[in-house]
Amino acid sequence: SASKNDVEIWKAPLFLFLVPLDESLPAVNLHIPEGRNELWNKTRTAFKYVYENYYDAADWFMKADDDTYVVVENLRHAVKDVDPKTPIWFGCNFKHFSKQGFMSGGAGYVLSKEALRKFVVEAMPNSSLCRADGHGAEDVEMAKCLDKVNVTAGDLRDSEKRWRFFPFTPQTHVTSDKMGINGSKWFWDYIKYPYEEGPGCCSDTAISFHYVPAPHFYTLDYLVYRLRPFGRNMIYLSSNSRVERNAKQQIQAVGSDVALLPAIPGHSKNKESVPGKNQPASVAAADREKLKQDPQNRTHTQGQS
Amino acid sequence: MCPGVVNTEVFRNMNPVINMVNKLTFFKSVKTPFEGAQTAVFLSTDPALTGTTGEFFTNCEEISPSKSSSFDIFAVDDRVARNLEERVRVLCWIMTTPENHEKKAMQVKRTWGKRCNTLLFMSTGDDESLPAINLHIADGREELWNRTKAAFKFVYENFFDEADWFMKADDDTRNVMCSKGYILSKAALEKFVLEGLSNPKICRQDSGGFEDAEMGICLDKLNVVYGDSRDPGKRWKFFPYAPDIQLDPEGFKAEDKAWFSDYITHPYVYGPECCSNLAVSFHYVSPAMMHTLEYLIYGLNPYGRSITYDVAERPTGDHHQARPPHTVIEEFQ
Repeated sequence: SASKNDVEIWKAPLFLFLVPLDESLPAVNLHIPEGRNELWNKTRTAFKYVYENYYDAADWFMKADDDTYVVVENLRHAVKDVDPKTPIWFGCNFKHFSKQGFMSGGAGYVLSKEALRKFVVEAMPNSSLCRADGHGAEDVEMAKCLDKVNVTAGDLRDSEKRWRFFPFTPQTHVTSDKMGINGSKWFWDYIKYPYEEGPGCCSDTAISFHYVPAPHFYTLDYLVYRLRPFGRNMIYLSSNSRVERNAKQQIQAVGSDVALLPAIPGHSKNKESVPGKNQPASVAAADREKLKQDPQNRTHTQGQS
Repeated sequence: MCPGVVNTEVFRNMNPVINMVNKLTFFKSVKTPFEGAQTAVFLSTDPALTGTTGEFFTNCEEISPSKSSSFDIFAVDDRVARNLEERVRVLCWIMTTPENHEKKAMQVKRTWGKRCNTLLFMSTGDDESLPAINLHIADGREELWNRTKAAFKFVYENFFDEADWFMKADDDTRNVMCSKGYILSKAALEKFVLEGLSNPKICRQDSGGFEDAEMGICLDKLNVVYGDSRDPGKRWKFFPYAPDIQLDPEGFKAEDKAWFSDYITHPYVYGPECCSNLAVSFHYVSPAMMHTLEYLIYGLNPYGRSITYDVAERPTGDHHQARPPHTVIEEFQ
């Protein structure tokens, strides 16, 4: 059952800016000419369409390109503690062009419900806030608008400060491919947050990569969702920002069934003891039931359950 | 402390009698590495020793939260894999050359190679940093069969007791712990070295021919069984090309598709259905792709999705129905 704190990510039909209309996709025809020069016009029109037709269907609204690969589960995970009624947006944070910088268009960016509303209702119609002619870089113009109506450019890096939205392919980022980042000198000038080259670049809960050729979508789907090293399992704990302050309490509340380890593959060799171990099965089940009814753990009391 | 909620649920809900019966059946029907070695099998089998899962999860370990003040609220539990690592010992030897020691061989060592119980690099020059074993045979394709024979002989003479399975791979093979290239059981290795190597009626004595073909001919003459490594859904596990080629319906070049479709013994589905979720190896993987695969397979994970290893299911064997070897169960919320 949905609560006001539930986060619903809308699985968008792809907006294909194709003429003629492609019914097999299906695509929404924005009736705007093709071309880079029209990109801003298309983007804002698309968001307006979404606001007018799908505003109630979701709490978060993500724009991506047709060569962006997105792990939607990780997007949900990353925003699940953020109230969609706050005016905020997330993406691959770059500096310049506006007070808060901008988000890489190709890596994809996601607006909260309130951010979308502010954009369409307050910013777009106002030519002193948003560029009126349809030209300009879509990601830069978006950022300028949102900044002018006080939408926060949020930071969605993971708990180890690794990035989650990426402007290049996985291979480029993991290896700092000479064809990729090093060939794009602007990257180092634009990045808002520190970036670590090589295998430490990328969060295990990364959300998006860009410049992914269409056939590679199959490969990424297979490698990310299907191919699994046998005997290796992920364990999840219901998220709560208070976990960070009350880690031990959380473990007790959920019971002895959940392990909490550093989220680094191969480092799960801890042998230290944890409180609440070997709780009887029935107690653990009751704790889980409690947590299910109270996902935000608001009524949790101190001490043993 | 037991691992994830999911696993505990599975075992609680299972009829304890069925659970026990499954365990007993399993232990009767499976070949332990030692027994398996008595039957010479020429190829890796699926490491589906799920019998250990049952004991494993009742033997709760204690795990602590990270010492850091904030952490991503999920964890990697690889204890089944680590348990398996102790029970099924694999020796990997990598064929390489001095010019590739740093470029390729070292990347194997930094990525999948470290998961072998024993990792050896067979080369034509010395190198302590790898470290490399100098076969003292010339480089080049023409000497490949000679080098292969020499490598297996070296492994047999020095490491026979240290492993149950012996895998040969190239420095551009990417493994999810095992290989394109090929894997020999203990008995297969022994037969090859003791009966085949110096017998001109069995194994080609000069260095001509194609190394993998010559190996196949030898082992065939030695009555070593060439196993079928596909999963219950008939999807492949060992691949001659990199993932982006195997998974793309249009990935094969015309000339590659021509020989491939002519040579394969089992049908191959072009496109995403080609490949098992428990695939073992891919070939022609560049060093850059090795690191990318390391991240995509062992790092990047869709949040909230985990795989359980159920005692009742085994992917191979006559005693059990063909079912997927693992199930995906949704975590609460």
